[in-house]
Amino acid sequence: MNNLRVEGVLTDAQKEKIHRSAVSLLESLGFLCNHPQILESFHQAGCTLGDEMSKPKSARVVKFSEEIIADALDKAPSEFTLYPYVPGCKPLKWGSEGMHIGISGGMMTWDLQTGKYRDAELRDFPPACRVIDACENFDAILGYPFYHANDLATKEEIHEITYMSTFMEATTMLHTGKPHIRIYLTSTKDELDDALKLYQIAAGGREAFRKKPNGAIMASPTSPLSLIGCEEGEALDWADWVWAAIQEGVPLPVAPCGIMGATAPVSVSGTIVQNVAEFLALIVAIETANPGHPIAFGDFSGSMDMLTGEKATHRPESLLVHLGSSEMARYYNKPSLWELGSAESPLADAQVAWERTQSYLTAFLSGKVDVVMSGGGMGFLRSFDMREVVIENEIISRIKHMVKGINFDEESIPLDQMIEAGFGATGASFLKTVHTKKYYKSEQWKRSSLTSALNADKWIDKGQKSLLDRSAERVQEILEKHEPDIPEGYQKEIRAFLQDVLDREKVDKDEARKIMDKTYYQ
Amino acid sequence: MEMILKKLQDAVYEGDEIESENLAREALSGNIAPQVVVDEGLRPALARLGDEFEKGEIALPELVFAGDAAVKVTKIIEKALSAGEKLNIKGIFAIGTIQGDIHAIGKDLVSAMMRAAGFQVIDLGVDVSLDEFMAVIDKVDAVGISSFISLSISHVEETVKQLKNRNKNLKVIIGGAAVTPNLAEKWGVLFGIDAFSAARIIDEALKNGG
Repeated sequence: MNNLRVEGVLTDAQKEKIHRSAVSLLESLGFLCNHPQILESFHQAGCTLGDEMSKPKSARVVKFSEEIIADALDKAPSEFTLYPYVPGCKPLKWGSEGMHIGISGGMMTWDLQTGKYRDAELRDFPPACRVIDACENFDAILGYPFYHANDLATKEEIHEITYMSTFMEATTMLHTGKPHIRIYLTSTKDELDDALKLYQIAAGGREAFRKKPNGAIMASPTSPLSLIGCEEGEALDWADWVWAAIQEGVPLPVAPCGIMGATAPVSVSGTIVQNVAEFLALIVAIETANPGHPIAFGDFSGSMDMLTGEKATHRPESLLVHLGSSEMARYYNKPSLWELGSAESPLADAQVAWERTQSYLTAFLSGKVDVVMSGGGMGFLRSFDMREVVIENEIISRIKHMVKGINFDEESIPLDQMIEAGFGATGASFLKTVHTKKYYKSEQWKRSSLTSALNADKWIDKGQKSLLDRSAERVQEILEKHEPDIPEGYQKEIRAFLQDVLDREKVDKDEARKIMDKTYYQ
Repeated sequence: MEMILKKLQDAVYEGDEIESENLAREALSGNIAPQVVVDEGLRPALARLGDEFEKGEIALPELVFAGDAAVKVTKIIEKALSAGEKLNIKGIFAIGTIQGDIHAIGKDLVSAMMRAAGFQVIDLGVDVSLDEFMAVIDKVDAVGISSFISLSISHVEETVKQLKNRNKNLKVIIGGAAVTPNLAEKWGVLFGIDAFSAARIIDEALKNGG
């Protein structure tokens, strides 16, 4: 079958120009970094390091040559796989097999009982993850469905505890086996170690993880052109996570996150050049420290709304940057990722639908991106609604069916049956043909109960259920029937690890029991 | 006189720094009093920008460029002041992103809004230490602290405490993803939910308590 695709947005000459511009930027301006080991990697690669700066402390400007960059590109693999750790989940193949879709989250949850948003709590993770797990069109999860568990600590108390992200990660892994791509959230060394340990538990050990990784960590420079690690006593920063990932063999999708007009040029082509430069700079450090380390060229850039200052990743101009970045990934023969993250609309409405539809359609039609992390979060990562998740699943399903293209196998044009059926005015019907029976399932998109196919009269007669009513019913149905297939031994090991974390943090026994209870679906 | 001040208004509104500087110099050399240049050449342009931004008729880039032009004009006017003479301005506002945090955009947006609202702004940059905040405290009417990373909250708390200890009447506003209205209330400072509310909140606070 001939997949439906659009021509690329960049010509060969434009790709060459973007590459040359990015290299020129790294030769002239360079890249700023303060992480001692990563600076040492740059040095070993042959980069020149400038004098130490006082702010950021110990930062040095790193300058590159075309040869150093070419060497890193040679060492970096063209594909890698994230292996699921539960039966039934698909491996996430980067660089070799179609497009995968991931989902992320928000800070608040839409409470189906009250019909209002409220701060998310740990107890909200199991149902949200189960809904994600049941949606066949989501292949991975970016971080967790929620970025805060308000019952573990309020936003004001977050700096007082060091196990929130550990519990959010573990609870997510207990309720969906889909591969995880971990994003850096401001955290402590303990939380970083916990995140790595959870990956290793899921893989069956440290070495097993290195051979068959089940998760990745996003490596985002601080745009423009910086990668900063923490100073003593401060919160960990991106560079600390990147270095830990290099040490433990965690795949590193490099995802520049410039904001057009703020931390990146306002032009699409300028932002693509900056993205390329940041990707090339980071892979020099990564591939020098660990040749062959799995990487991808990601793109988490977005457009700044010029009235509110918010970062918008689903805007038309942002999508053009994403398209250009993934075409550059193909130019380098490396896997690619779009981290689109949140929709702008704060709630499950028509705006979310058009934002997601345009983004998914663009990604699928480009045929040049391996992983798109787009779903879930709304309102600039502030909100999450399980109803919206199942709606998105339906949107993706429609697009996937269309982009498969037109079937032209031997029997797809049933001339004999067309002749046999005759003319419309004489009562011809294909309903009863063998051809229809054989092909309707593959030729027609199969709608779920979310998509209404009732005419208006029947819709009124059947209770006037809106899309949100139908999606709430679908969520309920999933929560009643869907049981994620997470091996029992693995669940026990994760919970034993969580208990150790609570002991390490000296959490009161009663409180610890309450927290552990919330890791179960109730 | 009116013509040159009108031209100055237009140049500042357009964010044309060079033309704004030239017109300011021309106005001052034509014996227009510095305060008059501020009141009739600068403020109307900033008021118009603020008004049009609120209505969504212009966007952040126009605001930022006009703010920069206003800074240049203000510097020229200050040089023209006679000894002991002071400009009647809304106030001086210092802002920085807290120690351990390098996020600049929120701070930059607040700076732009404050300038557009007629404040003189001292931008302390990112990763600003307690000492750097304390170094400007005697020059300013209000201080803004931007904080994006939650683990930097303890630095915000300490900075707020020390600033208030030194000058309990100082208006301090905090904002950014890491801080909340509850924290602001607990620490006895103001909270800006976004960059755009900060100027209004500081303005009102200075009118009421300053």
